[in-house]
Amino acid sequence: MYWLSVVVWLFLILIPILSIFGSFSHADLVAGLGSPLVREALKVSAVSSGISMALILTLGLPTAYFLAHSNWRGKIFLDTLLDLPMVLPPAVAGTALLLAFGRSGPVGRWLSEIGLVIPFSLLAVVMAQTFVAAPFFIRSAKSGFQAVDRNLEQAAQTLGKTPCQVFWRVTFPLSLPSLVSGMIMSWARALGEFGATLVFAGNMPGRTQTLSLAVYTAMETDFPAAMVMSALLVIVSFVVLMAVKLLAGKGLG
Amino acid sequence: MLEVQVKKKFRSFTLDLELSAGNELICLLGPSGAGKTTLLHMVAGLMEPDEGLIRVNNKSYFQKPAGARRGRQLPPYRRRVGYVFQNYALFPHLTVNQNILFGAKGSMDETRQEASYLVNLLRLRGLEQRKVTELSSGQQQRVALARALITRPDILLLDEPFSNLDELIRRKLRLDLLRVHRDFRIPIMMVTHDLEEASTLGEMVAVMDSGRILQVGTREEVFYCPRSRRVARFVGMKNIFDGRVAEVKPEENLLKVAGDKFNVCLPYHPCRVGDRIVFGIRPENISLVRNGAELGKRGENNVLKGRLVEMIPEGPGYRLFLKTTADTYDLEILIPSRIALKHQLTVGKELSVTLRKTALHLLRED
Repeated sequence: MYWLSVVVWLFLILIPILSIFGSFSHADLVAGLGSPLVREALKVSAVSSGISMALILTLGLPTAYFLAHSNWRGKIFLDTLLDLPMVLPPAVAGTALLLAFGRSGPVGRWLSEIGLVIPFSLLAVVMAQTFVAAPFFIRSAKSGFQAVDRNLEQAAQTLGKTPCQVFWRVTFPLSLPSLVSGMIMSWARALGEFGATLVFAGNMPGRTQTLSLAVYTAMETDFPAAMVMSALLVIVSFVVLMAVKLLAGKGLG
Repeated sequence: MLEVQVKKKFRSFTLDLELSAGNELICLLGPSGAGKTTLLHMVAGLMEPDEGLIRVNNKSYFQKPAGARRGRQLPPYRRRVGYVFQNYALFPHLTVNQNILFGAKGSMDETRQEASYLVNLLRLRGLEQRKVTELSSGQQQRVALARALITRPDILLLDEPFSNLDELIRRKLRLDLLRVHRDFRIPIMMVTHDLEEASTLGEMVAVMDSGRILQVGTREEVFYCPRSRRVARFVGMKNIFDGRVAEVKPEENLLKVAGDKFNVCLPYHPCRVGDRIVFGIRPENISLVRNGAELGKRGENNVLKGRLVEMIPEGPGYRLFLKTTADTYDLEILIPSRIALKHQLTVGKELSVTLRKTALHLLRED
């Protein structure tokens, strides 16, 4: 009888998803893809999530390595802190960012003195996305590094390789599947980011309005366009998730 | 050339040992937790001792005098150590050839020659393009050896190299290792807890327990003249007895001992009448005496009578268990099957055996 439970899930997930695809005509699709609202949102999303990913990768990789390989008292505190954005309500994350980096915040005040105003800018979008999406990459990368047999890294060292060479020739290729799947998950999360962005970066078309924010706006002004963007996000998310599963199943190396 | 003198405190024990050797094959023998692998890690630079020194081939790997705040620890990649891990630690994402060439330095030509030589030496021809995960354990072991040797190390460290292999492959690999030792002329330090392995391979044997070296010496010294009761147990001396000195006769090179189980004559050793002593003899040094046979000098042969209570085939011979007192058994004897046949041994038979004075060995109590 266990298939009955599956039917319930299908009812709950598949039907709403399919109704998105049934909610617009072919003409709507063409019009939607051509509308400036959708195009600008696409651009903002692509640029901001791209920058966020670059940030997450360059800063997350060493952090994940450090967490995987070091052992000190209080490490669990840092570990938990880095995971926190994953469970925090996005609105809370946005509020926190706004408080810290807003004009009257401790960091924001100092930054605005040197002429840098973060809130309601593309930088704010990037910060919100990085804040929320980084844990997905760091977690995955950390467990990938931890899964590499310590003996392999030690063996490479006795074979005359410096720690840096050991990383690129042994640790990195062996943890690549985890890195890639963490990266994809993280990117998908950044792309879907809504709450924190709305609070911290606002919803300004062409500047801070990402795809998910545009869906929200268009719901009232241009319903078919909202549905076209929703469909786009659904497709991307599905492909991304499936790619991660395939990667995990096969193992890249 | 190898010189080690290190100390390190751990939560459960303190490692404190000294060892020096030339280009010998040294077997580190001892129970798990004795600190054997730890010692290898220290020589390879994968773990830093609290104090002491490690020198290989006149190159200082580690130096930190007692009480000094800072020492000199050469990182592993600047030492010249070949390390074969217990699980071989081959790189699963590389082929056999890529694994072997991983640590290679120098020109392409030289490297290729060197690799080709090692592939031949270690019987790996034809496997070069395979993935290492497709190899048998014995083949993986040889790849690990080749990979370590291509760096032309100054010392080779092996952590229980034959523990995951079946007997036949083990024998072949031992020969491979001896060939490597002959060709490379570098010290080889090998961890094992297999007595037979230590006795067939180890030119030198170091018996370790709880972070200390109990005895180090040639295979003969350690196996036939263990210093203490503990070492005697580790090296399989089996027949270890307590007794009291009854007579001391240095001029006759004689020590008469009233054993708790039987009386024997031992070679002279400075001690006083009445001293408690421990003595032992290896199972293969006890021989059977044919009833009524003439024996040489009396008193030197320590002939004992007993009943055969058990007889177990072992390798090309038998292990006998002889009962001379009320205990379950008192003596373990190892004899070739030829002798067993000649004496028509059956369980329950009364036997005479001789514990030759020169084979009896005095042990230190510990």
